[in-house]
Amino acid sequence: MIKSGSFYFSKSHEWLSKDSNNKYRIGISDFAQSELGDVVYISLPETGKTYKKDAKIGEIESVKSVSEIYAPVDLKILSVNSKLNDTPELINQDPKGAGFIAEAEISNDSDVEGLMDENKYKAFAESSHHE
Amino acid sequence: MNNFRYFPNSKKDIAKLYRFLGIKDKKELFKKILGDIPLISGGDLSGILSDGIDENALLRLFSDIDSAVPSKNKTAVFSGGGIYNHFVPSVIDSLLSRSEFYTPYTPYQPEVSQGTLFALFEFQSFIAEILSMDVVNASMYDGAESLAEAVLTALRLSSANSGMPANHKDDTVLVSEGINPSYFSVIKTFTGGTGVKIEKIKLNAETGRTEISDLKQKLSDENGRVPAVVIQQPNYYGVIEDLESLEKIIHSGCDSNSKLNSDHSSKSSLEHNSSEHTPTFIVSSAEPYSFGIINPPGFYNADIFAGEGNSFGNYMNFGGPLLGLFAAKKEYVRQMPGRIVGKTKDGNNKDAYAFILSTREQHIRRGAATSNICTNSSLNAVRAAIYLSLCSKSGFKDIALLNLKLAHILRDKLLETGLFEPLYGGDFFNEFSLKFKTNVNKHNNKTAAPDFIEKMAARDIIAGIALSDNAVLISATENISLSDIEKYVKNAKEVLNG
Amino acid sequence: MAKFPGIKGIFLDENPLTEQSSKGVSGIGIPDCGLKKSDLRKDGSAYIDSKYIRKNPPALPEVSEPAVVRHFTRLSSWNMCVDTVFYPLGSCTMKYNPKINEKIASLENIKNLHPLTPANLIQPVLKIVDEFNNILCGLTGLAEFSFAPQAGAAGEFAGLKVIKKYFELKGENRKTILVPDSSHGTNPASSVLAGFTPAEIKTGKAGTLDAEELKKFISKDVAGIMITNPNTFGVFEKDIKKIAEIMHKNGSFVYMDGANFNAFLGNVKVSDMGIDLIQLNLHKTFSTPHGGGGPGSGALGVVESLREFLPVPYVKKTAGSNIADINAGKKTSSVDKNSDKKFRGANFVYELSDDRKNSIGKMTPFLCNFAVLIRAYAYLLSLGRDNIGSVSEIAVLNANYVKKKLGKILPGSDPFEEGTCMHECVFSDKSIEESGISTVELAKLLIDYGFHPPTVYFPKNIHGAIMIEPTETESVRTLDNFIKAVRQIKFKTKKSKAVKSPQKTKVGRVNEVLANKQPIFKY
Repeated sequence: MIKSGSFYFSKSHEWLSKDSNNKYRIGISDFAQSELGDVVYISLPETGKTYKKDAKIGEIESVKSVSEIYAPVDLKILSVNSKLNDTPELINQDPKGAGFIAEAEISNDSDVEGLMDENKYKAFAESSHHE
Repeated sequence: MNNFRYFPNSKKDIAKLYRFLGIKDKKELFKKILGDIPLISGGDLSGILSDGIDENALLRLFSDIDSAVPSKNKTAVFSGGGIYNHFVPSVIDSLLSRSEFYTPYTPYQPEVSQGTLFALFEFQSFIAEILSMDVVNASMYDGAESLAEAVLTALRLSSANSGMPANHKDDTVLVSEGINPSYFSVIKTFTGGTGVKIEKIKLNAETGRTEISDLKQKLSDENGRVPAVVIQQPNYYGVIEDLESLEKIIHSGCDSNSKLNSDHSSKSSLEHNSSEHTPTFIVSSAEPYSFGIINPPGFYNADIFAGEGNSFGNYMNFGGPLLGLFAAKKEYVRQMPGRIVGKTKDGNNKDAYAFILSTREQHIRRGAATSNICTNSSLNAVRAAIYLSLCSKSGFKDIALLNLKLAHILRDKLLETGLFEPLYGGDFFNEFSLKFKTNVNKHNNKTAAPDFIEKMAARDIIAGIALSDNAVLISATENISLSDIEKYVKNAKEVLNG
Repeated sequence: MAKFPGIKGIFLDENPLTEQSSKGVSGIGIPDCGLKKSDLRKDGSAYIDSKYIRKNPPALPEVSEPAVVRHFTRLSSWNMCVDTVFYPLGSCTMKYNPKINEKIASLENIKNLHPLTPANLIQPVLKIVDEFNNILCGLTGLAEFSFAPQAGAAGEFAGLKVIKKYFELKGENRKTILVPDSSHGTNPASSVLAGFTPAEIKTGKAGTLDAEELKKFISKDVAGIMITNPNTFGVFEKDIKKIAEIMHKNGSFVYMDGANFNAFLGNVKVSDMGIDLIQLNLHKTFSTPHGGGGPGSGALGVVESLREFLPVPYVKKTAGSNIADINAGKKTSSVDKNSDKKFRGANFVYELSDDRKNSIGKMTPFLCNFAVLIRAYAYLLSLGRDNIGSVSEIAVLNANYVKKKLGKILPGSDPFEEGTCMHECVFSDKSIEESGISTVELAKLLIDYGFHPPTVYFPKNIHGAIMIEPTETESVRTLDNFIKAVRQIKFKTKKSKAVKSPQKTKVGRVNEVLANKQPIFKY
């Protein structure tokens, strides 16, 4: 059962969180932003477009690296956080809040259930740091 | 025996290194690393490389070679065709002899490379000013490669694909026949992997300008898309193109998918303003000195400029290294190839310079980079920056104007001889094409143009480039004087009448 | 005790030239070229349609010649370079650039030579290209070099195009190029540009490519492998012959990225490792200056079976006494180096030729980066047969000296501690991190000691990589000094100082985040 307000994480470090209107927000984890360093540019997903699970929906750039953002589950982008165009640093400052990437519609809540919860993800992130 | 002069370690030092590493000698060292791969023995190189020579002997050897090729002082060079005989002020060689400019690597550590970065920033600024374009990169290899990369950039823009273009089998890039044939060939080499078709737009037989009706025809004929149209200014034959008219048609995008007659289609596509199918307007030039006197590509709303910058403070060097220029509108910057220098601040809020938007490049994005280019023509770009700093606003224009005048005086005098006629009638800058009048060709059993050039060369005049058996491409720069022109005309008469 | 070079000295500030402009000032003399006053007075519209004429000439700075000289001289003093500091930038072979080569490349007639000058007037120049080719063939064991590629990446691209063309002609559509994960970024980028799909192979624990691992990737879709040897860890690819065998058995080619050829120069022929193609970076191994980013030259060498695909034009050597004879169809037997003996004592004529039916085409408008090539040629003549073998020998000795000595200061940081490296060595940030210093801080701290930093954060598969290439033109004394600086940094540097370094340069730590977030491209 998906709880609104809770965060669900993918192995490629994106999160999904359901709001009260049954829409989902998508973003990248605090761990991902700290590995990336200062975000200088983001290429946002296309509004209205449907993406399959694991499809590339955008890119985040720091000065010397590029990271791809993947769809954690099948989803349709409803709107994007266009504030990120001018203030990409929001991703560093508040990755789970003002630094969200887009709002999406997800037809199967059960897809989201397959993702990691906060605790599981924390353990996962720690292990990938030591790799 | 002393050690070789470039090796600071003495024989004793080397022995010490071997001892430190616990290795006996060179044989053991390489054996340890290479296993059974054999080492070259001195004998293997016999007949290929002789024993090392001292500096004096080396200089003598090359000085002899230098004196066996056409003498700079005695020879008047009227050949252009993509590389031009401009004067290089002494300041440039003097400044460029500073090791601080020519012996560093690429400025990956900005704090210890501010000199190169600042000079490249000035280069970008001056070239942007000359071209009237938004963003200029820190150089490409040469005009041809830069143009080929511009076509690839346009393919990426057409498919909104961030990496290098992969499959464009249904696309056609239209390239004016006025493009330098070598540039055309390099475009072919570079775009081969994408499957895109490259088709030529005819020149008007009278004027030598790109034929507008042929462009319209080809834009509406194509079954697939036309990601780009390429025009050279001035074109290979020296003719100044009517970029204003061409641009209107290209940007109104006689939409390739709507096969309507041209008048109608240009109107309708203007209205629906479909940016997706509007071809990228690429302007090239091998002689951007022309933009001191004629309108620059930005004036005609070019999307990308890609051409040759060797004319600014660089020698001809038997054809290389050259200086590739690449410029684009700001909105295309993330698809540009090559390094770009940006202005920023340091920790103390002082102005500082660094490479920017590096995520486009191969060392970060690898296979998905906008280009594979790494080493470019940085030092040639610094030369150009120094040259253009010397020129000043009015000087640049005055020298361009001088080129224009000298070329026109030469052509008029050659036409007066009655031996030549213009190949094309269009306006030109510092280069023009002539053909021999029929009687000249008859008179001579051999192919007229190559024979003419060879005979003129024997008289210390590099008379131009053979365009065909019967036509010559001739240029004149500020490095040519009126007496050189008179010498050309006098000798042409003798060679062709004799 | 040896002193570090450090940085003291004079840094003069300098404004952009546009801010120094005064109307009407210029730094260039305008010749009159002997024109009549009446002609000099005319403006552009006397010659061409006024609709083409530019109304506002480009606003270049208006400054005098001395102002320009001072400006750029000041700028130059803000650079570190090989002539001022030890420059151990891994993978870049920052060796000494001999001054005589600069003088040779600046000879008056050669530097002013138009590339399309009739061939009969430039025989000695064309001969240089031919002879340089012969020497490179001798040093590599390959059949022919093309000098069309303007830099290393262009050489890679040309080589891959050659492979592509070979298979096209055979009617095979092979799409894959294998690339180790430790390769230079240019390798996958060049593969894509040439129309291939790069497939990444993981390097093994020893830092090398494992022949057994490679076998998993072999299929009829594989056109070739791009392999850097020694690889980007400075480690020799021990399995290279086995790798070549596997590839050849599959009908595929072995392309060697020759960026690290300084490890072999004069001692090892790449043909003995089964290499089919290589690009040699003349601006690395062959001592031509890197110019702060270029120009370079990426000469592409191939085995006999691939010669016909090389770029055009090329220098064609023919037995005969003059060009006219050749043109008239006399004695037109063309010569390659293998049949040289037959013509010994005969005269040769050189010309630029496009006559190569299966060529991949042109790479550049003219022949090559000749001014780079002539420096590299002069370098080889200076060294000669008797000294050339010392280049890679000393380069390898120096690198191993640094590897062993630094290995003691940075315990646990040398991923290949047991082995012998070639021309460069690489360390992780493990040990310095324990002292609270990151790789980037080490790099910036070294600057204040008066050294150029090593290559950092490459190769990517080594954490916080520090890659050091000392080259053969550095003395043990310099290496000791550098090692001592690293030791001081590790043991004596406070974090507060590290984050603020460098402090003695013209500018402090450059804000690259700002530079990328709000890009400023020009004045």
